[in-house]
Amino acid sequence: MNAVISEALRYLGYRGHEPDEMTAALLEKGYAELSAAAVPKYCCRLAEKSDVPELLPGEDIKKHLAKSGKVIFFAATLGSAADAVIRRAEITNMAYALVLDALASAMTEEFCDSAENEMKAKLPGNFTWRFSPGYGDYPIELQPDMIRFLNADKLIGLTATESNILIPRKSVTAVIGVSEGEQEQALRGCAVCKMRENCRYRKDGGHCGNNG
Amino acid sequence: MAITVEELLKRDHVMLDGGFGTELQKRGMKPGETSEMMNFVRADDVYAIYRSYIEAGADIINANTFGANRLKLAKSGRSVTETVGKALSIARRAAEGTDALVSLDIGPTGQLLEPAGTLSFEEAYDIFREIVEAGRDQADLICIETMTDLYEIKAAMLAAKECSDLPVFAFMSFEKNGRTFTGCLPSAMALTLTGLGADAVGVNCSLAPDELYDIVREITEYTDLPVIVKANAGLPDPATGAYSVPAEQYVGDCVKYTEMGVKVYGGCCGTTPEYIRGLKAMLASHTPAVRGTGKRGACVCSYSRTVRIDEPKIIGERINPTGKKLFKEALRNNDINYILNQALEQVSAGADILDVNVGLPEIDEKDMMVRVVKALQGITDLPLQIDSTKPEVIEAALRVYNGKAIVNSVNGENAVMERILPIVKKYGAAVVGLTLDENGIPPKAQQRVAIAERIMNKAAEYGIPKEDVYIDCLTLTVSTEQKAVRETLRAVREVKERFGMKTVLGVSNISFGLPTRELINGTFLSMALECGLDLPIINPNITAMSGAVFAYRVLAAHDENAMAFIERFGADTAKKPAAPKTEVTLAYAIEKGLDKDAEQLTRQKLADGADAMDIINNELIPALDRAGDDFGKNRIFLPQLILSANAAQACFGAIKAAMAGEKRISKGKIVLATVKGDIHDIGKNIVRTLLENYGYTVIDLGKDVPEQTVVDAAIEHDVKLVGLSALMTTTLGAMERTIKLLRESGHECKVVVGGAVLTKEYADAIGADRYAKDAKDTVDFAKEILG
Repeated sequence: MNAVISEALRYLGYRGHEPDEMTAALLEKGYAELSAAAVPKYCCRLAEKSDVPELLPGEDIKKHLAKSGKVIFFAATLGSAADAVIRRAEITNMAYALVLDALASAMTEEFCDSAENEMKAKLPGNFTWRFSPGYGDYPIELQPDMIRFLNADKLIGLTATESNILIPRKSVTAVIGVSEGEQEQALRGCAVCKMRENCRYRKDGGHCGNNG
Repeated sequence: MAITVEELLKRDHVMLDGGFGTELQKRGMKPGETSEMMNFVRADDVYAIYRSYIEAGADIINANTFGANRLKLAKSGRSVTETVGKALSIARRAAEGTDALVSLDIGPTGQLLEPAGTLSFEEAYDIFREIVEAGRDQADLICIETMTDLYEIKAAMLAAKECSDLPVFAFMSFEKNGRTFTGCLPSAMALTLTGLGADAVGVNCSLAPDELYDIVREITEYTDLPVIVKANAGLPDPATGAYSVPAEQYVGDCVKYTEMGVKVYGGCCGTTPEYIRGLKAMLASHTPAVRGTGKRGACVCSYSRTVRIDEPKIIGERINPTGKKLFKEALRNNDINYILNQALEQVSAGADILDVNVGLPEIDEKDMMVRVVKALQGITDLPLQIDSTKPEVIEAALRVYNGKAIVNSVNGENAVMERILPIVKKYGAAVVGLTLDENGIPPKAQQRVAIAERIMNKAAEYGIPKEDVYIDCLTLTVSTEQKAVRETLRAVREVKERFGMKTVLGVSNISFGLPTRELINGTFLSMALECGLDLPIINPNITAMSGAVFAYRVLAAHDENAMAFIERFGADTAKKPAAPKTEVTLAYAIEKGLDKDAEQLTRQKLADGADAMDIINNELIPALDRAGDDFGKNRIFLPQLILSANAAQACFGAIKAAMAGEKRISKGKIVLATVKGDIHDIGKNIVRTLLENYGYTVIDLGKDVPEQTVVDAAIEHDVKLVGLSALMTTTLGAMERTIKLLRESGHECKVVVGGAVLTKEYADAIGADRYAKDAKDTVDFAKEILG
């Protein structure tokens, strides 16, 4: 089983259980259909932390970047064709739509990881994990400003709705700190996550895909 | 004014300007600042940039209004009117005493339109209207640029054409895969924008000149309009911001465009006056080639699929209530999903175009047509044929259609043509012409051909070329008019041979009143194809019908090496569905999610005389309960629970089909909605699926639903249960407001809420009656309330 599919199974709540035959078939089919439809793209911009205070409000992002002098702003998307695949499935087969949704989330995370590795190869220094608007007190209202700063609408076709939901749906914006010295990785996603008390992944000792 | 845009376009070439934002950055604009604000705080720099481009040889300068729309200006404290007015007045001043023309520049709104995003087409139109009205008096033309969504540029085009008399240049930005971010094809862009009345079309931004050759070539093949290339100077370096393609290379790479006959040149991000000077010098010695016209032939398209009618193409006829009880019921109940399923079934059966007819006396046809067209283009990219006799319905549908559609239909009656053809022209559609007039259907082929000619000529008067007119020589019923078949076929052949027009025929009528209609239909279809029928309107779900078209394409040597035929029918033997095994019971089929078996077993039971309610209460619901119980105990997981629901749906489908028109089976109505501001609706849709399969009627209001809409629906349908979903902490406020408004309305009902960020405590705090932790939980509550 490939990494995206096993991650998708985790999102679907299988927690180590093997999928039944029909679900396994949907996962295989969905993986193939999404891989064909998705046009993953990312863009990034490096800045001195001191130059962009307006993009780094709140306490949690300050803690996250405590050891970092430079900051990478990052955005990635699977593209709108992936959304269309899910939308179509919602009409004909909700089970398939559900599986596709989980697969697309897993694919987005995997793509972000590979993009991050590409950036690491080009930039010296140590990276923090990706910190996104909506984590802790880092406001989700920052999405339009992040998009503008990155020119992400022109470069990768990313937009935000009035309630700051990213469109295409399977998209991420994030901030990565870059330091010359060691990064302190203590403040993981769960620590600042609003969902921590409710989280079904944490109940099982795990975590979701959003915490780096 | 020295020269008009029309005159300018008669020259060998036209020069636009180059990058603006990148020039402002060079002059000190900071990362957090927007170009539009520079009109106020750096007016001298803005003026200097205009001047530098005019001096470099630009015939047209683009005013600094790219992002001057109400969404992007929201936080700036400046209005659209003052920003656009200021930018244009600086540009006018810069152009004073020169021959340069000034363009009002319009960029994307910054939000994605429905169905991918949340901005409605109508709202987008209004945003663009405001810009056009603010700039029309000072501008010589309008440039609509950097668009990646055909739907959005269509809204802007309509605003430009309807609110001004200015010429319009329309540009989109493509990626290396030959499409825009939203999947739009160059051919679809060219067809659609040409139809909407652009004066020149082309590409700008995103790629360097040497990466755009194939895209621009495709555009030149699908339009006769002047074509524009305004590329980027490559890509910026993420660290330094420097662009990768120097002027000399940029200009050299543009030489190839002169060979393609591209007439209008310029530059986008990263280009400077130096690039424009270079282009000007290059064009002095490379006169763009003169392009041929009318090469494309008959085509229709959605934003992401272009259908060339160069071989018989199937128009699917199933989206039509005529003679269909279930379809009529779906229309009355606003059950758009039923219609979407009809569409997707035809898509997988091999249809190329879908006919859309939602006319029913007791519903608002216009409103339904708009909703169906919008919903259809969210789930299929097959081009649509708008089927209505009412001009207002046709216009409303064409307006919101994202591509080049077909209108079905006009006929030879002058009054009808005068009503419909102006609409066809305005929206750049193709049109079906029926060979009948006020005197009815003429019996002889020659008379029908004469009407076809009349329609062709009348269309030409309105500026609709004959390749956009498809003639329907009319199928009569063979059981009543046996000799008429030959006349129809003769007329088809003649229309093709004499006028070179495409032909269309509704095929299924032929067999009315006869047994085994498929035999007659299929044979007639083959005869008509051989006479030159291009667009058979058929039920593609019947393999004998769509198969005849696929087979004809092989036999007439359209389908080279029978590739398409083999792909469709090659695996046929393996795909035959197995008969249900004897040990499979209905309960087992539902529990295991075997939808085909569930449907077949239900049909069998009904045929054996079983009572529908007994099947639902004694088999379907207990089976679903067992699946739900297994889910609660982690023995099965969500996909399997939904698969069970799908099988139950198939069982329900069989029951409904058997009982259509009789009493409705419903255990009560429930309103469901994802609250205002939130567009996460997969969870809500899962709840809907499950509720429906327990026999409840779900009024699904969709996502991003305003508070008042929920209240209105609850009252209108007199529901006892409302379900609300929210997935973001930021949209919980909307949930709270919705509940408050419901309570204030005095309508008595229970409210169940769910969604990832909710907790029982929060649900209690905002006044909900129940927090449902998952879809199963919602069903349990529905049972408590509605039984």
